Amino acid sequence: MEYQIGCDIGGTFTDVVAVDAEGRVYSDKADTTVEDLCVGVVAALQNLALRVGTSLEELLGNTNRFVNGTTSVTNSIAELKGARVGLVTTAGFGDNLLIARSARNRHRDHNLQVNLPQIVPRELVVEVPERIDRKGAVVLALTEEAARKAVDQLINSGVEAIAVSFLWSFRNPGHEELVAEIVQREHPDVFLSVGSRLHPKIREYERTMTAVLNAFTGIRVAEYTSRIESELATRGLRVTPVFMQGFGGTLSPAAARQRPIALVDSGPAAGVIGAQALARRLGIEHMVTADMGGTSFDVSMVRDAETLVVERVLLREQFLTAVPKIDVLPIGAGGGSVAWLDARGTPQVGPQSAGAQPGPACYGRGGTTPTVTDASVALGLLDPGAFLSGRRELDAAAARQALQSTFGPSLGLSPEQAAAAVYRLVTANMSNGVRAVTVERGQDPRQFSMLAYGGAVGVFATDIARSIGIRRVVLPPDAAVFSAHGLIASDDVRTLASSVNWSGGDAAETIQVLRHLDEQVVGMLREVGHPESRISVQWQGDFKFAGQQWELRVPIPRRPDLDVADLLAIQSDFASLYEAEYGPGTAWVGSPVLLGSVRVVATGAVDSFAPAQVAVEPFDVTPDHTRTVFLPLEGAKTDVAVYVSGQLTPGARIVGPAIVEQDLTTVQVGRCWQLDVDGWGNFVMTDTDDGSSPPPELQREMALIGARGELS
Amino acid sequence: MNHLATPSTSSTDYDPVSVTIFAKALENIAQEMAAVVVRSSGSPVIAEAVDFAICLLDAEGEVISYGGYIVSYIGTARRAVRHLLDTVPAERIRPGDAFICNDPFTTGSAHTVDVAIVRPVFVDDEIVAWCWAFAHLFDFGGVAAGGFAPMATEAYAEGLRLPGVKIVDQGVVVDDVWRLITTNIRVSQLVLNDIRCLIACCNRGNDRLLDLVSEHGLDTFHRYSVTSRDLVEQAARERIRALPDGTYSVDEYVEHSGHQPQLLNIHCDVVVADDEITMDFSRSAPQSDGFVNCAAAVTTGFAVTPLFVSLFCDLPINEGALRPITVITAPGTICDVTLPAPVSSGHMETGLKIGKLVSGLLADLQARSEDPFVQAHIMAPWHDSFSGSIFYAPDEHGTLTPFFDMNGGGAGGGAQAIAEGMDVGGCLSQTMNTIPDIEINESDYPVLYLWRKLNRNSGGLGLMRGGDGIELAWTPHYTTGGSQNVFTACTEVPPAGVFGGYPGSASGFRLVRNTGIWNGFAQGDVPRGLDDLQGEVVELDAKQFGLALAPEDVLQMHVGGGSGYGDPLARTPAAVASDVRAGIISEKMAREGYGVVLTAGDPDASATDALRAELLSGRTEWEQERLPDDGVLGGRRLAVRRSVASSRLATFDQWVHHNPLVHLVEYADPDSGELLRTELVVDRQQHVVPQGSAE
Repeated sequence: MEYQIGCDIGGTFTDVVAVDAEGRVYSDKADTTVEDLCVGVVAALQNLALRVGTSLEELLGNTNRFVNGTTSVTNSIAELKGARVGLVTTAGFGDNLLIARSARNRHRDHNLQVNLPQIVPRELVVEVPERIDRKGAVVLALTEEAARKAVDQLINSGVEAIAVSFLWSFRNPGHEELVAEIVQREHPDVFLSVGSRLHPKIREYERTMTAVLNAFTGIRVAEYTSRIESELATRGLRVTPVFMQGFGGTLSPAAARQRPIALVDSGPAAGVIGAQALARRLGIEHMVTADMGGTSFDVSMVRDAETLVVERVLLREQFLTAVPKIDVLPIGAGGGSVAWLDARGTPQVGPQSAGAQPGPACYGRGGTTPTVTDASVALGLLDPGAFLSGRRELDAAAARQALQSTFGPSLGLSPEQAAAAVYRLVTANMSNGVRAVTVERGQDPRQFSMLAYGGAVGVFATDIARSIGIRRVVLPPDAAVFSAHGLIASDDVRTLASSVNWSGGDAAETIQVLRHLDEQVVGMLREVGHPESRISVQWQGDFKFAGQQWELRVPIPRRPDLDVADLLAIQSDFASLYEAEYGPGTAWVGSPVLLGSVRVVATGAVDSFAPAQVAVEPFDVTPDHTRTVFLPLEGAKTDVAVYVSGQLTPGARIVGPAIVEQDLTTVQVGRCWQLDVDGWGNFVMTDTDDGSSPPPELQREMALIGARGELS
Repeated sequence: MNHLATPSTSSTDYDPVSVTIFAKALENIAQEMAAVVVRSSGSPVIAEAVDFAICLLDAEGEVISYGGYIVSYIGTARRAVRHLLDTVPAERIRPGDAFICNDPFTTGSAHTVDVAIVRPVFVDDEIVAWCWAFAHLFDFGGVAAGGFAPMATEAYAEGLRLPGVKIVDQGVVVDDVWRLITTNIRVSQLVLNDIRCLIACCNRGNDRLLDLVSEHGLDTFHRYSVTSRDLVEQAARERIRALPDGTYSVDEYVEHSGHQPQLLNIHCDVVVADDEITMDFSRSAPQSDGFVNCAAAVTTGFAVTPLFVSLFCDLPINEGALRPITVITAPGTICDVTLPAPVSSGHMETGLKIGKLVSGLLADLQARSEDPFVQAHIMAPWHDSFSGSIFYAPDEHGTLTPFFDMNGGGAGGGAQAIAEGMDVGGCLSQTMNTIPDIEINESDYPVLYLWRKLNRNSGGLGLMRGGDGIELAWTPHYTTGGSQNVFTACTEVPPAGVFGGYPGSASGFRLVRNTGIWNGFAQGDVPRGLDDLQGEVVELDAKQFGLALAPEDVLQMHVGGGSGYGDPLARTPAAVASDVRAGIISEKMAREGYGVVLTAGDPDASATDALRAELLSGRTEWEQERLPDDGVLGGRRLAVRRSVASSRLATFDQWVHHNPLVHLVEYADPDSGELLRTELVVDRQQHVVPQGSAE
């Protein structure tokens, strides 16, 4: 039997999923081992082999595809741990990273308005006499002597990596290449990162930052990819593992070592790619993805079955980079998020998290501040004895005590009422996150389904959805390890972009750039063995009205005979394309339309093993038992039906309120939600409320009256 | 008188969770309205400089939520709605109406290009709320393109003023008003576009507020709205109560009227009494006939801004935070302009100076609080000045586009109790300030930058260093040359530091003609500063217009730094050495300002100890003075040094424009030599406050 394996290294757990050629799905996890990620990977794979019922060597030996999503790059940037980097840059502009386009941010609290940490200490920024202007003309020629002097200076300062980034290098890369060649020839062991090779587009700050972060993370990634390759090979893996990129699609280890920054945030991306595959399977066009783990709630969307890719990305909320990446919004709302009282005396939840140590109070590891998980326990939504299949006993008394001591004295709430408050607040925060990625981008959430995954989401999913008008929630059977599964669904993708400068008239140069990029990316895929017939290529152009800040990405037909007429056609359609995106009346009619950059995306199709589907016949299920739960939105204790692992097989149908206890996660089915298990084992939950019951806020208000009646 | 306070009703019994969720829903509405503006405008002023704001107000014009990218316009939002309530008969305000407001004299705008749309929100026949949305537009007519009119002597030259004019009547755009605007402004297409955005934004606010009302019912809506203001008020009062009671006087100076250099006094009498603050600006200079005057609403906005980013930074912004604050102004002064005096740069001149005045005082008061939150938020004033530079020249195709260099937003931030000041932070009120990429400016305009770096030594000396400003130079490129305007508000009187921290350098421009720069390039020379250029360096006036700039000429912009925090002699020598190695400060500053002696880049411990001891004992020999009983240092006998600011700061390798009337006063402990305070003082015996000719 052949297998495909996805392995997602997260902050806390390393998740693994195997799918076999007949569509059987196996999953497991192990603790992430931060000091050496490979140890956790091997441990998780050993657990997985047990699930499959074979040895690790047998499993890996029969694996024809191994996809890894790694936090190595994300961690390196988050912890500011990486190589000692030197930067060679244009004379007069060495303070670029200190100026940081002004490091101001959205925070009103000035304590949070401070200078950025510097990836390259200013002493390791070397300015060289060179200058190129906006037309690519050489204003001041760089001499080989000056270039070598700069490189030697950095080498003598003990740098491990060198980034090269000059003004206008994307128009004329000659000077950057001169420095690059010296480094490659004379110091082949030093990691090299060149602005115009990584991102040949206008805006020197993000190009330079990209080159610098690429250099900063490069050595770690090179070490990691080499180690994982050899560790897996010695345990029998016969194919080369591939690595997930932040915008979806995989890279070979060699390509990842060239462009490590492409791996940033690949974990969240994998989840969204998995969601996209699932959406296609289920025939869903628009989907909000909602991933709730221990520390955060990550929201993104799949619209018209496409993921949302952005190119200007603020990493660590500090470093503006030009890395194409799936746009995922993280909200500080997870199982470990801490509940507290603010200066007004009103309760708040997150964004701080209790982390893994001490963790929620109910973990019994010394935590005394109440968390979201504590609230779920106090409400009775989580069974203390059934958490993670009973692998971890939860201390309900500690949870209640933590809630009581934080909210009891000043608000006079009972532990259940305090827990309900925490539940409502965190649900509101997550609902606001969903609102931000839909409503604030001009999308109506009522047109969307929600795909919910991650270990902590099951308890909240239907309530989040209802609060924002989403009427269908899909919870995959492997929700707790869904990102790992998403890796398997990912095709092999390469992309390159380049600045151009076309506003009408002769387009020969622009078209030449497109063809050149096309050759490069297709070449990369051929090199790793994709036949021409299985490579699909898209051309895109970023157009805008002269004087505007926003560009709109427009497809450009990929034809051998593409000519200026095709571009002129896009130009004349642009106003209507723009208004379709931003609304009627928003086009800058009369302003020239400019094409500022082009991008080529090449996808090498991969034969992913898909999970098997069984035919289903709906049937009703009798609950295993009932439990008294304090339903937080209703503010009252209710006996709720509880279903346990194995009861809900394809075809099963239940109606909320209900609780389903799965191996690695617990699901709350809200009142009036109908849960159907489909042929793949997905929980498809539909809101059957026809609007006759009062809106949720009013329900809360009514509930409150009840709660207050008890209090007074 | 402009009292912010109306007595609050005591909040009734409430459910804190529901109120919290409700307050978030209001914030979401403001955020969604902002998203409508950003997504549909595309204007760089809005998208990149985020120069816009959103406000929701209740039926009486009290702020219920402020979605501020620019915090200082809250006074304007309240003023606009107040004016409509006071002047438009109730029966003429109907569902679906929207009003356009940009008049500084009635609706509180800073200048005519700051245009707001105001829309009443009706439930049946009753107004339940108002939406206000403002943005800085490209132009609104008048003598100067873009709205800054230094040549104006009257407001009538500063553009078309609309005092709350109905632009949408029951859902239908009023064509006559539209035609009136189109006829009177430049680039009308772009401007009308942005006005449409603001209308769309208020429409969205209206719909979302109605959703919220229908979700909760009108009574609950009102109750929660009132409660969330009361909760913020309580918290704001708690924070003020943490400050020491007392009476204080603070001065700042506007430096140039637009017509001529002159120091115009902003005087503020402050009373902190229990949980309330009163700021009285009525003894400020009479209004000027130059464009530096502020509407009272703008004065209010800038006076409360330092509180919103500091004492109240964790509270939602609504009326509750304003209730404990009273701002008093006197009509006919630079802080409360009356017709016909001009105003078009009042917010950039008087407004920003008011902010600095309050920042400095607040730091002094916060320092005497026991509250750890209040302590952690102590911050020295920012340089808080925007350097305006406009180059108007044909490119190689003969196309003329005015080049407004947004690098002017590169002033340094004030040092904080917990951190150095932010380098290139811009103005305090602009939390989302950005500086353009060199490549974007060079691609859009006919210029070639020679360098852009941190303005060396510009951050004020201190235990915590003030943030540096930006310094850059460019030459005309791909053009035959053109005309240049410069204007800056802070060249002579930078704000003082706190607790013995020093002021930073000030802002200015310099011009070098016939530099021979292209010959230099051909020979492989890179100019790294003005000293490397041929030609005489000319220091420009704070405001200078219509300079002819030719190829080979070089314009330098140097923007000032934020003020320092604490005695610089207490700064660790290692931190000083690191700043020297990074090229951020000079060895001279390290030695003269910080008392740190370096050997091969590292601090020489014994030489540093000796120099610091010498500097400290030097301070004890300053003349002793007994200070007045009121004021921050209340009645102590201290060692005091008074010197002309430009000369004194030059000894630290810093720059402010020379004005013999502007003095730096340093106060040290007469025994230990520890520096306790610095102040910028204008010699008022010598200085005659000019009378505004507009009166």
